[in-house]
Order: sequence, then structure tokens, then C-alpha cells
Amino acid sequence: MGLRYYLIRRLLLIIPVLIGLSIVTFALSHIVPGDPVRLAAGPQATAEQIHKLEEEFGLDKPLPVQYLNYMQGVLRGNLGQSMMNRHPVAMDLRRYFPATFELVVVSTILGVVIGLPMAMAAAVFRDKWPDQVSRIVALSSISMPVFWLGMVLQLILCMTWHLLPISGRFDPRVPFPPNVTGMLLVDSLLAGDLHKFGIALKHITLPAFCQSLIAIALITRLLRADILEVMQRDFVTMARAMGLPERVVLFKYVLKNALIATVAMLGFLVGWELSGSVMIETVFDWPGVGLYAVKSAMTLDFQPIMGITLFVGLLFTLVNLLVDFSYGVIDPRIRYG
Amino acid sequence: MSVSVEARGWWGRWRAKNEGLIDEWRRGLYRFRQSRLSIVGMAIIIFLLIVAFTGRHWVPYPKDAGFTTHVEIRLQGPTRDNLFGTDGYGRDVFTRTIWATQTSLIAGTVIVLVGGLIGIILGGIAGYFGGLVNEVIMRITDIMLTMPGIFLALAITAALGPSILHAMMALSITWWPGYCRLVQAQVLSIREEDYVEAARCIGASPRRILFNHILPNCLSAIVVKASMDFGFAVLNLAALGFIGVGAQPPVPEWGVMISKGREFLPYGWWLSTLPGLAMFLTVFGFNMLGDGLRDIFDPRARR
Amino acid sequence: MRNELLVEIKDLRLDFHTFDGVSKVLNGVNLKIWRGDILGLVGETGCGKTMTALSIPRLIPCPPGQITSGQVLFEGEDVLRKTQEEIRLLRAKKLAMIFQDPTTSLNPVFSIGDQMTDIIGSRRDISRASRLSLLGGLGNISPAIRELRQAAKERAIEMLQRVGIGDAPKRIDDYPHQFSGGMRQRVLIATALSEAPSLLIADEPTTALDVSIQAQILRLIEELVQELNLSTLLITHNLGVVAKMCQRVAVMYAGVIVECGSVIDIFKNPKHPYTLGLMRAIPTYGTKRGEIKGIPGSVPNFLAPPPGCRFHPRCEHATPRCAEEPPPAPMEIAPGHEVSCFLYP
Repeated sequence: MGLRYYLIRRLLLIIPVLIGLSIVTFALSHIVPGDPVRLAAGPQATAEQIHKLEEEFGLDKPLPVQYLNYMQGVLRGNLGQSMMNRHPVAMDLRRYFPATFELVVVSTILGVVIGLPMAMAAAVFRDKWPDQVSRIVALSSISMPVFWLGMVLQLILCMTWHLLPISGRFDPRVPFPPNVTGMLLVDSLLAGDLHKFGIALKHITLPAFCQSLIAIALITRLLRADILEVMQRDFVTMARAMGLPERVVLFKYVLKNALIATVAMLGFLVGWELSGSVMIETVFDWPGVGLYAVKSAMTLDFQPIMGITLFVGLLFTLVNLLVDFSYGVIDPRIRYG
Repeated sequence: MSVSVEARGWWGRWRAKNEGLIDEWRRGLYRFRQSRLSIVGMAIIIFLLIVAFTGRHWVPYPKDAGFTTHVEIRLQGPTRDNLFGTDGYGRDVFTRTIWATQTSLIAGTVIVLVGGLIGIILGGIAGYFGGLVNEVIMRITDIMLTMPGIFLALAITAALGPSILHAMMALSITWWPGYCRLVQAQVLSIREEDYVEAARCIGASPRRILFNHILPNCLSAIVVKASMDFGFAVLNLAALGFIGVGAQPPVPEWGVMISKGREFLPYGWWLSTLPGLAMFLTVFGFNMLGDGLRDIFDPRARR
Repeated sequence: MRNELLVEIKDLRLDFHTFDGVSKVLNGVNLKIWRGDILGLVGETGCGKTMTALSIPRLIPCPPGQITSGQVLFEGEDVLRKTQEEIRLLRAKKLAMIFQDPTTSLNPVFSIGDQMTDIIGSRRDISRASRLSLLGGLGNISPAIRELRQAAKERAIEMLQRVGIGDAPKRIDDYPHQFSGGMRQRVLIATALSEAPSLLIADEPTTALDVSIQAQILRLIEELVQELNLSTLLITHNLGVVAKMCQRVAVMYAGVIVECGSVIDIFKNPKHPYTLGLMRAIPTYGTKRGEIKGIPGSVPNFLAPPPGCRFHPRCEHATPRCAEEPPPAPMEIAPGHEVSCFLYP
């Protein structure tokens, strides 16, 4: 019962925050010193053409009115139009988002798969070599400039040894699998096409690995700390005293408690991965939201900038909400509290 | 090991007065010394700082840090004359890397200092005065935190125009909410402690209470966060440079150098790899130091 | 006629390595528990009672702790020299332990039934214990595991009803935070005693409970001990509990057992100065106002304990010898009554 009210309250609180966010980005995109309209119109444009463009984009009305118009549109699903390619921003986002989503999901899974055993080894063999190694790995991962690593790996694995494709999401000569979710890995599996699955997998390996570094670092350190803390608790001594085998104590009793604290970190992790995606998509030419953001920023295309900002903000908030919700599901104290 | 009451001189008296603090520092240093990694980190940092700040005096080709061309030796691999090779304009990459180290270290410090200061002050005010002030400041912080930092920094830098200064400003703006939230939480909890109440009863002004009593106790958390943040600030600055909205050529900056080096892959590998390695080592050293500092200030976190 | 010796702790010394130095927690502990005995271990908080008890199932955390010398014999075999597997067997089949705080002794994220099934199943069939607990529902594929789980669950319900939790079949799937403090302790008692162990170690089982519940729990423990014919080591700092429940008492001070004997001997005829001080401190019917006599001084610092006998700074019968030599090994001054003090050579 308490859980439901808590969630509804959180959902309601999102709204003022998002409004605030939209105001901030709206204000930001209007400090633009350059003239995006002139840029879009081209160097040969006449004053009249520019004026028409301004009218078309509603740029001649006073700022508050522009804002209100914009927000009305947002609520109807219209995020404006990109001045560069004339596509509606919402359409562009819908096209680019699955790629980023796929990348984030795969890299998080990779992060957990690598990070969890490392954290457990580090906790169980505390202060011996697995612990030191995991500490160095974690520190290296956060210190690594992700774009640099991506390039170095590209250089070695792709250009020199030709093991993996250099960039892009898929082989340009091969048609995509039928579009169900927009995620190539999932779609190719759904279509039963293992060949395409293999291609998608090869292309996603390097970007996902680079992206997963931050997840590995975070999970290794935080999970290790949580495991160590849980192992000090009385119920662990009790379980051992009652004769439970050490394996059970560790993998069942300790782990579930430690994971609860780790789940809370997931929201933070996704935010970080979204940041990382900006650079990784640039390096690997991955057609996702990050690359879209960079291109829009370079061309001062403020409608997409605003749209992306709002979108990412909303996404991040939803992820945090989801994390809070799953917290309640996992921890019985909250569920049956 | 206590100091006798009639300690002579101001040094003795200061030691006696601050015995508790000194003891804590001794313990902290002991823990620090215990961790070999932290020592290594410290060593790396000191080495880097020396390199960065004396760099101007001993780099082989100081002019190459600016806009010069030596077309005849362009795009050559590492040789004895050019340790890291030369770039597309014939400039010595080693010189530019050292120069960039200094630039980035200063920039990183500024970002963390400015962002931190704004955040600490706002957080302190919010936590101390509570009520409406707290709500307003925290809502603004929440809004700023809804977005992963780099998107905001990207938007701001794009709006203001690409330049290293604008990138630094943008990053400072994205940085302060973290400190604000940290300090606010600390202040809120410390505010309820008895010694603050006592100070208030004696009639100390809010400013005095804030600066003399509350903030010093938040110090350890702030220092730990700042040391870790430094690495991230440098990385983010380089990221913005890499994308193209940060430092602009010919300013030597790691991100820009790596980005420009991309054009010459796979032939000109030294252009991107080596500056990146320098960046990695720098940030790594600082993060190790930060880890070590955390060992000192918050041993519970590690053990 | 004498029963066999179940537990014998010989000259156990335990050090704890802390930042501030090495804390000599146990300084030569000698303890005997006979089969069928109910031994009370009393002493002030921090004197080392829990550590002594934890040494029997070898649960002392050994990176900070280090046993420097001594033996802990259970049924004649030294626990300290056993392998991990043997210890596990010991803990599962022969020992039962109840801890002080029932709130933190239960895993909050699993139901009571889940935990009890795990433990009871692990005690019954050690080889299948891992599969039973870790595989969860999947393990039911194997009929052996399914039977084990079923049997364990039935036993759990049976024990819960025995300890006084009425609607056990319904409550077995509840989580620990849904039980009150007293009920949680009952659950722990039920779990500990489910497979008829040889020795029950109860470490201050009622200290964390409300006064009204304390009596109930103690009565429950007493009933079960008699019913199952258990040997018991009851740790407490409450002399009243000792008087009521125990047959023999061991008095501990600063890491050493100073006196040990039957309840009557200790209460009526205490010999060691510390025990004398304790007994004198208990207010009785005839004690007049303002007459309560404590023991002057305070518990020694384990990092730098006083040389010789650790009690000598507070002892009114102290001699110069007490400050130099460590106290002698326990001397039997009457049948079953041992003291460790220079007053009784």
C-alpha cells in the first residue's frame, strides 16, 4: 500500500521537474549568438527568405509565446522540426533511440556479467590479489577516456588485425531484419536469422565493451563494498553457526542483500552510460541519440537540442522511477511493510 | 602521547588544543601509507605536476604549442628528435602533449573549484536555512540533475560557442548540483547536532555557525568527492574537445589532438594514441589518489 | 558416576588486531562443560564471554582475531584443528547457537520458512544442502531434493508450533520484520533445536527483549532443554537468571575464568574476590537504603592490561605477588568448585 502511494507521488513530482528542465533548455537555446536561421537558409538567402523561415519556425513571436507554443506541441507529441534536415524531431528520435537503447542494454549486461564475479572474488579474497586486481581494473575503467579506448581498439582490432568491423551498426550491403523492436539483435533473433544476428553482434561488440567499462567499475567497487558490509551482519554468523555450507551463505544470503543496494545504483549507471554514448557513438559512427545530439549541437539546431534534452531528461527520470519501483519489489521490508 | 599542559610556545599550545585532530590525521596517514596503490598514485601525481608546471621550460619545441608549421617533417612517427612524432602540420606531439597536460590540469582544477564553490555555498544555505529556501534550491538542483551532465554541457557550449573557456564554464555549471546536494544533506544532519544548538544559544550569527562549525565537518566528504571529480572534469573537458565544442585548434588539448588524429588512422597512430595515454595516466593517478584519500577520510567505505 | 566431559577449553588465548594495537581479549580461559550440564557463564559486558562461546563452533572472525594458544576440545577432539568440512558437520549436527539480538539474526530478505527449510534441510542431509538452498524451485526436479524440502518444511512447522507460534502453517511464509522481537527469538530457538543437537549455546538470549517477554523465553528454553536433554552453555550478565536456570556457574573477568562451581557453591560460598564483590552487590531483602556496595575501579583496557592478575587493581586482598605473576591455574578447593587466585594455593 505504501509502495503505491510512494510511486504515484514520485510520478507527480516528475512534472514540475520536467517543466523546469524545458524552461532551462529553452532559455539556453535562445542565448545562441550565431544565427541558426541564417545558417539554415544558406549564404545566398535574401532578407525575405530569411523572414519567411523565421515565420515558419515561429521565431518572430515573443519568447514566452514561443515557449507556450512549443510546450503545447510537446504535449501533443510534436517536438519541433530540425532545421537541418527538415525532419520532425520526434521522428528522428524514434529512429535513433533503439540504437542507443540496444547499446545501453548490452553494455549493462556485459558490465554485470564481468563485474559481479569480480566483485565477489574481491570480497571473498579480500586484500589478496583478486582484490587488488579488481581495484586496479575499476580505477582504470573510470580513468579511461572512453573515446580514446575506442579508437585504440579500432586501431588494433579492426584496422590492423581485421577481427571486427570498424564502425557502424550493420553491414551496409545486407538488409536489416524486419523491424519489430528496432533493436537489431532482438529483431534478427525474432526472425530466426542467425547470420544477421552474427553481423549485428560483431558490430556491437566494441562499442558495448567500451560503454560497459563504467558499469564494470561501478559494480565491482560498490558491490564489493556492499558484500563486505553484509558479511559483517549477524544473520551471516547465525547462518554459519547453524551449519549452512559457505557456498549457500555467500551466494544466497549475502548476495541478495548486497544486490539490493546495487540496484539503487542502476539509475545512476544508466545516466552515465547515456553520457558515454555521446562519445562512443561519435567514434563508432553508431546512429543513436548521442550522435544526433552532437550533430545538432555542432549546427546549432536548437529544436533538436531541446527535444533531445527533454527526451533524455524524461528517460533518465523514468529509469530512476523504475529503479525505485524494483527496489520495492526486491526488498520485502518495503513490499510488506 | 599527550602534550603536557604547560607546553611551551605557540606550537606546543596549538598541538595541545588540536590533539584530537592531530590524532585523526596520524591515523589517516597511517592508513594511507598502508595502501601501496595510493602511494603509487601520489607518486604519479607529483611527477605529473612537476612535468606540467615546469614543462614550459624544457619542452623541446615550445613554439609548436601554438600555430606553426614545419611541413617538411609532418606526419612522422616517433623518432629521437620527436619523441611522440609529428602531427599534420609538423608540430612536435610530445611538446603539445606536455602543454596540454598543463592546460588540462589547470582547467580541471578551475572547473572543480568553481563548481564546487557554488555548490557548497548553495548547499550550505539550503541546508542551514531550510524551509522555502531549501525547497527552491533543491528543486533547481533536481532539475539540473535530471540530465546526464554531458548533454547539458553540450547544449551550453553549443549555445555559447565553441571555446575552451565556454567548455569550462559549461562544465562548472553541470558540476555544482552534485556538491549542492552533498553539502545540503550533510548540513541538514549536522544542524541537528548538539554543538550547533549550543553555538546558537550563545548567540553566534548564522554565518559564523555555518563557516566555523558546520562546513569544517563536511570537509572530508567534500575533499573526497573533489578528488574523484577532478578526473572526471578533465575527461569531460577532453570529451567536449573531442566532439569539437571545447578547445579549438591550435590550442593543444588532449581531446582535440585525439580527434584530429583520427583523420590519419591507421597510419598516424601516434597522433591519437600517445596523447590519450598521457591523459589516461594523469586521470588514473588522480583517481588513485582520490581512492587513497577516501581511505583516510572514510575507512568504512573500504574496509 | 560422573558424566563425560562434552566441552573442555584449555588455556585459550585470543588476540584481536585493531588499529590501536593488539587487544588481548582472552587470557587463558579454562572451561569445562559436562554432558547434561546447564552451565551459566557470567561476567560484565566486554569480559570475553561471547568470544569464549564463539570459539566452540569456531566462529571467531579470524583476520582481526588470532588464537595464539590453547585448545577447545569438543567430545575429545580439538575444534581448532579440524577442517572446514568437519566444522560444518559439527555445527550442523552437534551444536545449536542462539544469539543476543533476534532482529539482526534473521536474514531480512527471505521468509522464515525459506530460512528454516534451508537450515533444517542442511542439517539433515549435508550433501544435498547446497542444491536445496541455491537452486530453489528448480531443485524440485530431483525427487530427493523435493522430499528433503518437504520434510524440512514439515519439521519447521512442527518446531514453530512447539515454541508457541500458533498459526505456524500460515506464518511460515512471512518475513522476519512481520514478527515481534519475542516471536523472532522463538523462531531462532525453533531453528536451532530442530535436529536435537548435543550442545546449546545461548548468548544472552533475552537481553534484547522486553522484560515481560524475557520470562516467557527463558521458560521456553528451560522446557526445551529438559525435554531434549540438552547440555547448555548459558551466557548472561543477570545473576537472577543464573540462579533460576543453571546447575553450575562460571564467573569470568577480563578474559579469564576466575571461579567455577555449582550454583549453590558460588552463591552461598564465593571464594574469588571478584565473585565476592558481585554477590555483595546484589541487593537483598535486608539491604538498607544507600548500602549497595559496588566494586571500586573499572574494567581494564584490553590493549594494555595490568600485569599479573587482571583484577588486582580493584582487589581488596591484593598482594604484591598478584601484580607480578599471572594467577594460577584453577585449583579445586571443594568437589566441583574451582578458583583461580593466589589466596587459595
